[in-house]
Amino acid sequence: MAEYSPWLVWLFPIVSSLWVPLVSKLGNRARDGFVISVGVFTLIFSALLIPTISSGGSTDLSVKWIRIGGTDIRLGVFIDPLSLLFANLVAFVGLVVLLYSLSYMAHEEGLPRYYFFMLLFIGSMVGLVLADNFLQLFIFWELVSLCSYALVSFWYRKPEAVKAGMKVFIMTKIGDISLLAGILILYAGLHSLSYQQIFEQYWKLPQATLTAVSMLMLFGALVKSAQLPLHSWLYSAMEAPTSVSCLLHGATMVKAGVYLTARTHVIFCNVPLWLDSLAWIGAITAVLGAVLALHTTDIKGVPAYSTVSQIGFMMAALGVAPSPQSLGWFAGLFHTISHAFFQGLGFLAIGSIVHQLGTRDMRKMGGLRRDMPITFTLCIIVILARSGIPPFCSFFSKGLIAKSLLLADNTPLTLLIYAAAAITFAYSYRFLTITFAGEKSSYLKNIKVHEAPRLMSIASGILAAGTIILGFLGGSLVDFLGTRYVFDLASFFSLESLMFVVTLLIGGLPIYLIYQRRVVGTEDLRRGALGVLDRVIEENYFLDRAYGFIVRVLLSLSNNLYRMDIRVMERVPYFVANGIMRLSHIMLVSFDLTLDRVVAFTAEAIAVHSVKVRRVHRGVLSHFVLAATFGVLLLYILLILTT
Amino acid sequence: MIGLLDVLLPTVILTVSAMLTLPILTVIRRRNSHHRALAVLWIVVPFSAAALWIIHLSLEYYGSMGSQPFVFVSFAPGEEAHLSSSFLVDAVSIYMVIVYLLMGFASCLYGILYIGFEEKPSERYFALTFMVVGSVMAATLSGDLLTLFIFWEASAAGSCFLIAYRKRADSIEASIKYLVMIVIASGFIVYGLSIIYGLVGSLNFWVVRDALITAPDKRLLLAAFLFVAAGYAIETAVVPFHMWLPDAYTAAPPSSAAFLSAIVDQASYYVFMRVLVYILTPPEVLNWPVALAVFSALTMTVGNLFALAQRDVRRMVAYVCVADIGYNLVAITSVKPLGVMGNLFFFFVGGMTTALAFMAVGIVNRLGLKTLEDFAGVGRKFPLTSIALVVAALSFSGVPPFAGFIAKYLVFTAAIEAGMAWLAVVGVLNSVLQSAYLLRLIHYMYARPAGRRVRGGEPRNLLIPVYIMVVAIIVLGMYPAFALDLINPAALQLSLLLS
Repeated sequence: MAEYSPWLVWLFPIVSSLWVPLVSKLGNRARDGFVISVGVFTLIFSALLIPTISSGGSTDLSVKWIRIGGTDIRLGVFIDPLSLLFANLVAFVGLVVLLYSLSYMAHEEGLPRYYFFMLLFIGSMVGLVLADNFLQLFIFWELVSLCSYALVSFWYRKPEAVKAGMKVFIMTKIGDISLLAGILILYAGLHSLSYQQIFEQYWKLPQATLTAVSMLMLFGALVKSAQLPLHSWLYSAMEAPTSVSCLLHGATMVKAGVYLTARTHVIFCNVPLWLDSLAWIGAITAVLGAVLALHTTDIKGVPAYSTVSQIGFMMAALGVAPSPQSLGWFAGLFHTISHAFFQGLGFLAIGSIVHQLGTRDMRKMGGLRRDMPITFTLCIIVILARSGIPPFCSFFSKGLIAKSLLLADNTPLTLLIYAAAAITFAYSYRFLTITFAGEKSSYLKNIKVHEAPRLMSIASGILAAGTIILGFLGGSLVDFLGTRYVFDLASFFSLESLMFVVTLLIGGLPIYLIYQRRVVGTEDLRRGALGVLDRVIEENYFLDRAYGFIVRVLLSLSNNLYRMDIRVMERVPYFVANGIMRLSHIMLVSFDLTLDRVVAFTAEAIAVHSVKVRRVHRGVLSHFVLAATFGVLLLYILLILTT
Repeated sequence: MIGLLDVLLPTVILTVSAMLTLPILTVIRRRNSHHRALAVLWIVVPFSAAALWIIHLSLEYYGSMGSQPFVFVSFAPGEEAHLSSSFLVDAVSIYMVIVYLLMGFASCLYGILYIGFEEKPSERYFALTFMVVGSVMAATLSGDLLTLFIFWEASAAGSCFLIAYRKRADSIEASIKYLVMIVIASGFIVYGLSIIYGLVGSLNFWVVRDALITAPDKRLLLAAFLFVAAGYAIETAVVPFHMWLPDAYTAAPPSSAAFLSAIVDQASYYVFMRVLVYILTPPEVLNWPVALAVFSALTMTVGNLFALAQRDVRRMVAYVCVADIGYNLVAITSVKPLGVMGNLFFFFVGGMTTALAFMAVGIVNRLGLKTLEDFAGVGRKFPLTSIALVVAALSFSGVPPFAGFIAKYLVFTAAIEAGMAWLAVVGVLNSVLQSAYLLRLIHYMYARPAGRRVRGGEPRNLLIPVYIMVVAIIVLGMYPAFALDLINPAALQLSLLLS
């Protein structure tokens, strides 16, 4: 089995997904068992791959797929520490989410469709990280988009869900196009798409081309990872069932961007512009995303914007790493894993709240801690883990990010990241007080709230355990990824990490005063200068408006062009026709009688019919001819100009 | 040795069966039972006979290809250089003939199931579809510009009737428009050909090509090119010569629209490519690729922008056809083997996808549902048809693993390889636009509540040809080697020709 696992690990879930509708006919238990066993086997296959590269290095297995001209495009599996790290992460989180879905989605309609897309989603993501060339990567990249479109619009009877799905697809498509453009230029320059060949030969490209490729691919990755300014799709994607959100945030979709950045790091770390843009966009997104999370009243909005912000942390760390062996690279990836655990856990916990309350508005909640003690505990773990309190995983990963930023000696970036960390604690704490603390709201008094079913708690428990264990596995991960750094637990209790804990207090204090002590009312805060800020954030930094504007311009452009096409051409033909009629009149007079009759008859026939023809349909024949004449003229002019 | 019979027999088979269709269908109609099964059988028989002969032809050709990549077959052997009608067999024409046969079969099958041959003049409809496929095949295999012209016009004349079938006012009107445009186009082409004949003294592909490389009078050549290119551009519906196409495809019966977009459209792209890339190649004599690139960008953008403005779904698909022409032109302008590969793959995939879209839309159209608003809720009432339409939409917008992705990928790589990165960028941006309006259609189909008029079940038998296309699009997307193995020799031959 082991020798086939590089192929089975992604083919198996994809092929199995096709069987879901069939197995569903056998009954719900059969379907559940089938889905879970696919998840388990995927995890086993990906775990089996780890020993194959225990000695370090990479393996490339491939078979011929298509032949284009002189070059073969191969279908292959590229196994190295990076791809294995992601493959295992996807398989693991995928399994946990599938387990959770068994109970969470149990009473929904359309489950065959749900599980079909879930398995396809997992399989495509594993395929994405194991691809051995850029074309294959792109194909899975698009498949991942497609699956998230289908899953976000899972409740297709809700117009918002369908709209959100479209937004996800279109917005990420813009990034995909940029990535595709980068891939095409790379191919045109090197005549190869395989990672190995490109890693060996990228220096042959001129610096300008390399920069162009790097920026195009970076844009693709940033859009996929919901970084500014195209981050708003991630919030819209919250229309999805919470289990889907968990998968989408924890392991698939948004992590694809991080993976691509880490994968291409070895090439593009030679492009200073790439590194700088990555670090700055990451750091700015970390702050602005956290601010959005602080502002939102949607319970799922908190983890959504939190992901935006946390991925900003990862990108910033990757951006300050001078090479893939350096600390920043490792810190970014380490934080990716810890984010998968704590954010996944966050979604699973919130899922059971949304499941029972039937609303996502936090203002309607409060005092849930007595009714849902387990969920409350899980949320506390999420918050501690997310904010970077020892001994949770993100204490280590964020500590390493801070350290790598200090190593890079970039003070503004470091300050931004510390600020983001402070706000992270602030919004997490705010979320906790609003939903769990205080008295029950009037809305909740009418609802019977009870704890989540056991299966859902088990799934959450697995991730919760992960958040604690993971931090201490850092040392072996460092070895596994081949980073030049000595992972020493003691070194974390140094100044920069403790600084980090201090910033948390700065972030937490105002929230404590406002929401727990209620020193100032939130309404009072909205007045004055803060009100302007409030509005800016409310409007999502006016970005959605800007995009809406662009779309409207495009729509009206197409409508007007289409109408103009019909209208302008109405005038000119009459002009021409008039002239011709006069001319024919003169000819008529001068011709002899027989011909005269023939011409008159033809003209009459044409006139009679043309009136009929003109009335019925949209386009008018004379316009066609006129347009064709313009076309000939245009062709003529272009030929003259170019020859 | 490939003889005249080998080349012409598929066309002859289809033409003869077209003639036999009238009596045979009349006899079938008089019987009391098994109407439909017998009629379908009558589609299967001529197509399988033609298929056998084409398999024979391609085996013969590939068996002896080592010695001669381009095989000329003529009515008067040795006289090819003069005005003798001749045929050319090479990897491109063999591939195209196979493509026509497959798509022709699927769309004729759809036609006979859709039109329903109880309808009175339907035997003429079926006879003409056979004839059009036959003449398109002969046009593809032709070896000189005149033979090409004659067979091509024959198929255009047939298409006219297919548009006007059912004699509704708008379809007659659309067919008149089409006819007038075709007549203007053939006037242009004949005029251009006469200039070429005057310059060269022959219309044989290779003789013309060789003569053009040595560059005769440049002004005359320019005039000849202008007329030939404009003529074929009208028939291909390049913007701004495109205006007949949306009218024709909206007014024609859906089965005709599917048939025309699968066969006649792709044949017109093929003719355009053959004439420009293979015969009028030398861009050093006449720098046409840049001029054409402008038209290509225009066609893609206008096609997609106008599609965005449409409320009528069939008209929207018709504008997608226009945009497809733009993508094909991208590959043609590259004048590279890779471009020809992109073209050939795109002919197949684009034809199938547009035909699939027309077929699926046609099934819904039967209930009188036409506009986007009418399509609301169709997704639940017609689940299988809607999935097929979704597949077509995704393939159009170039989403892997559907075949449209590979086609677009090849086309854009060709453009970049030819140093026209800007054109690839325009094309890629157009793809975003395309996915926007196609997603809007999907949105209407699945997210809006169904209107009262949306009712009734799906016609199961009509879904057979539809799903043949769906499966083909998915299979070709995942394993394009089926088509690429036939296309690769064509690319190699072109690189021989260009060097």
